[in-house]
Amino acid sequence: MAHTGGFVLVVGAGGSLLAACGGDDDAGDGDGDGDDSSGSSGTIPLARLDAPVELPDNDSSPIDSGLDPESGTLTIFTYADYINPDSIAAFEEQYGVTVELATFDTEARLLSGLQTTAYDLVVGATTIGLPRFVVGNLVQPLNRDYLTNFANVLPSLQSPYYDVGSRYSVPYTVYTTGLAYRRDVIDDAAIAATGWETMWDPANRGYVGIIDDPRDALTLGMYRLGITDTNTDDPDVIGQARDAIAELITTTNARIDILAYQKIPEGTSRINQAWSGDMLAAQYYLPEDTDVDVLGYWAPERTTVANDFFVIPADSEHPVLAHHFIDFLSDPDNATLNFEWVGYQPALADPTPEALVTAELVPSQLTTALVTDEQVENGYRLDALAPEVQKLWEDAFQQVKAG
Amino acid sequence: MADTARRRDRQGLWAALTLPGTIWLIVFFIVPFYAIAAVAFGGFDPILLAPEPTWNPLRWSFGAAREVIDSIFGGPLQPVFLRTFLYVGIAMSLCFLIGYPVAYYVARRAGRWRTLLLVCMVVPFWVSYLMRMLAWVNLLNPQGGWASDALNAVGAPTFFRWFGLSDGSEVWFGQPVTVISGLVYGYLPFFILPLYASLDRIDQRLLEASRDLGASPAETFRRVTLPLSVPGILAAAVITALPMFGDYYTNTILSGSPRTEMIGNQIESLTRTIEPQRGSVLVLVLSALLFGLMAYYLRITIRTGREANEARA
Amino acid sequence: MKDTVRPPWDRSRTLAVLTWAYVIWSLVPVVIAIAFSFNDGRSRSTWQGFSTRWWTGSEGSLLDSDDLRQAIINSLVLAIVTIVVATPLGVALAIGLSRWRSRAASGSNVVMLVPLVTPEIVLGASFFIVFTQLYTAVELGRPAQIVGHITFTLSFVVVIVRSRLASIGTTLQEAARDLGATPRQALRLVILPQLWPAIIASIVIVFATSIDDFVVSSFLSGPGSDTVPMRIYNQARGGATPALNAMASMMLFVTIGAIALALGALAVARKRSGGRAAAVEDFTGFSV
Repeated sequence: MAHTGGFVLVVGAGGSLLAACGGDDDAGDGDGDGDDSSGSSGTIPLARLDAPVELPDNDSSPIDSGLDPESGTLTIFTYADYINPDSIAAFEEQYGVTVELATFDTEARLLSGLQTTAYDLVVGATTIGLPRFVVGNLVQPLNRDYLTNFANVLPSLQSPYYDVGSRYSVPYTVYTTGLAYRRDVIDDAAIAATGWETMWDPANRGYVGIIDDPRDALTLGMYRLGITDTNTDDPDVIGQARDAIAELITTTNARIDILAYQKIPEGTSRINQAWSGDMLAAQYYLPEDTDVDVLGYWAPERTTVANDFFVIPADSEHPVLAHHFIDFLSDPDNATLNFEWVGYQPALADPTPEALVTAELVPSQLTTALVTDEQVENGYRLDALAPEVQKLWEDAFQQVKAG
Repeated sequence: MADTARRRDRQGLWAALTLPGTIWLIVFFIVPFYAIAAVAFGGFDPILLAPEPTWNPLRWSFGAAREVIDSIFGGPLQPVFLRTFLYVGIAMSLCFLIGYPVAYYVARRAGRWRTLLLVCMVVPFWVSYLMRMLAWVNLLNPQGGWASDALNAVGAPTFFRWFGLSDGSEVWFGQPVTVISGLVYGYLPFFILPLYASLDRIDQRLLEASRDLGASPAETFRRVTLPLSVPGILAAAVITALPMFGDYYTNTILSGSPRTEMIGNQIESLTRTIEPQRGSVLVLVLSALLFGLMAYYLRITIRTGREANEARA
Repeated sequence: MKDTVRPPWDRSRTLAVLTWAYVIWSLVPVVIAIAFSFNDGRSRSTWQGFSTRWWTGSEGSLLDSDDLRQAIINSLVLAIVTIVVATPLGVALAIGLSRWRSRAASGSNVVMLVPLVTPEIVLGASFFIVFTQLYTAVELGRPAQIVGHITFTLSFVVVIVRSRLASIGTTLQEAARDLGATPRQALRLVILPQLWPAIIASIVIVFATSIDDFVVSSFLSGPGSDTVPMRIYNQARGGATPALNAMASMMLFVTIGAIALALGALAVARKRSGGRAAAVEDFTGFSV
């Protein structure tokens, strides 16, 4: 590895070189006292399903109407494998531009990435981060004039509780959190009977995975305990959830990542906490000799429901083009093409889930992974938290990760 | 006069040559270290969950640092630190047990195979580290990976369970023994080469003298070769231990389980997410730890160097 | 004869067996990984017959995948720019440091060595912090990666060139001066020509280090700047295809090609400068 190579050089060139830096001992040490380290204060609006919020103005203004899309490169910040390369190619061709992808794998990396790099468009932001993006002036208000397909957005999400009037966001996908499993190892009936508890079954030891996200991972622990306040600020509840996940890791040696859509088809995982879209995508990652029948997805009637959305960063250099990209993927045909590869259900009225099944894009046993209106209405939401509460969740998850 | 001027001119040239590189290192090496401290002891924006570095040391606050230190002693970070020391300790011992005989053989006993062996030992330097890890990811795949199948066939999981380095499962990913073996596999070439160089440098006449004075081969090895190779062993140990302490990719790629989480993994995940402050504190803690190791090593090297000189005189 | 003195365990063939076992253990997995890039199936662990489909000519193969091709291009561009900047910077620093006598020189002597003994994660994290908090003008992505790579490879150049300078000594340079050459002329006509082997060795080391680097590249990555090691890291754990093996193998071949090229150049340079030390010495820093 790079550095060891360097060390070898040092020694090889005669041990004296190492001695040359003997005088240097300026390592910082981390102890000390004083406890006042909070920075600027401020509040973020905390939307809840029963307490919708209209997000405030920030320092950015929407782009003017009637502008031509920029040329050049559109830089999109998104999850890995979250936009169909064919859809991107089609967009590139239609607009004569190139699209470049940068990926994040956790909400936290999205937030820090937005502050360190100027991206043109974010695909995959959620309610957890949105108010911070707005108050922190990281995103700009959208101009609806460019969004000709906005009427196609699911009616329930046209003016969502987290962004009343859709000022800053346009829904992209909708999904539930459930359990992805191998049907050749775990029985449908068995998982329906034991539910979340199946995750803790030591029989699957070594083949278990949970989502690398503090909110999703810890709510799994809560569901097991019968707790459904997914936005809780109670340290005891968070502590119990943490202990439940710690137990899961002890009993099953569960791994923490967001690779269920690859690991379940590959067989290196047998049961994973997963987003429904991951299981619909999993069929495209199956080894050649494995039947699509092995993929299963279970979620109870009431579970975590979320929708990801598009936002345009405040420092986007191609804001008009970014609007066009949003509009492009909100078109029914383009959305269907995108779904064929991504597997995440578009948050659109057209195509309907039935249409996706009819088009044979959803294996019959995986209709459980399609989000129904009922689930959306009854779903538990993961919403933004006050900073000190957010820290409770983050700390608890970091403790879990420390083993 | 002319001579002085010429010397000054020459010194000026040398100084000018030194300047760009030195400035580069100050701007891009020293300052980043300072930036780590400014973040570790600085403020924090609760909305953006982003650090607000404090550049003036007089205004540093140590709340985050204290939190991390507390967590290392008796808190959730304690197992991470202990585990890191354990893994590196075992990996280093294995490096020594495998590396010393190999280096010794190539340096002293390989005969006509020497050149070929030397080439074989240099080759891993030119194979990307991650490619070598990728090779093991494939071999250990629970779905028909060759190494995985072979190891399970001979009951290796049970064997490693005795040592507490595996839970006995036939899935090798996520087991301590896998991470430790990965570290040994990855860093052993870097252990062997410097050791080889030092063994090769031992004056043959000393060994002959020892024999002439009536020492048995075993005695000669114990009383001449081994002591003379101590600096080489230490050099090799530092070369491999330092990067092992900061390693996180070997662990992630071969395990990904919280049960094998090491210091490097915590630094990596904290620094790049919304907790760079704590990540920075950990970077400082790790640097302090390793500088201690360096200082210890340097003392020994200097001393053995002096002793060797005296012995020669 | 080296065979005269033996350690206690050398009664049998134990040592030889152990050594050859080590060689096999260290090399065979890599050979297998290369072999699997020619697998005629999606698996990276079950052999399904020979094919070049993951190299070229099918969807998702190395040459048909923009992503994988881009990673190779990124790695090469990064390595080449790093060489172009780090080598002259390092050679100048080495010459300056070895001839300039002053407090400042001994200071930068120490500073220069520290990157060599700093674990990569410490470098990576501090680079990341400084580029996101202070040098925000340098964009994360290729620009930051280049700066990072130059910083940590600079020291290798200095160490290699300095050990060469030490073995050259100052005699010729002083003779040149006595014959009336200016310091600049002495530098150009006497020192540099003798440094060629070390410079070539530096270039190879910088190239290999940069190509191999994962940590710094990853901490400083931005949009579209994934390098080959980053791709391997990100994909090895999931459902990657043998195209990943093909990409890794391709990089290995490129590296070996570059070294062969450099060895050739080195042989020429050695002939010209009259050096007789083995190539391995310049390449790994060991006296063999």
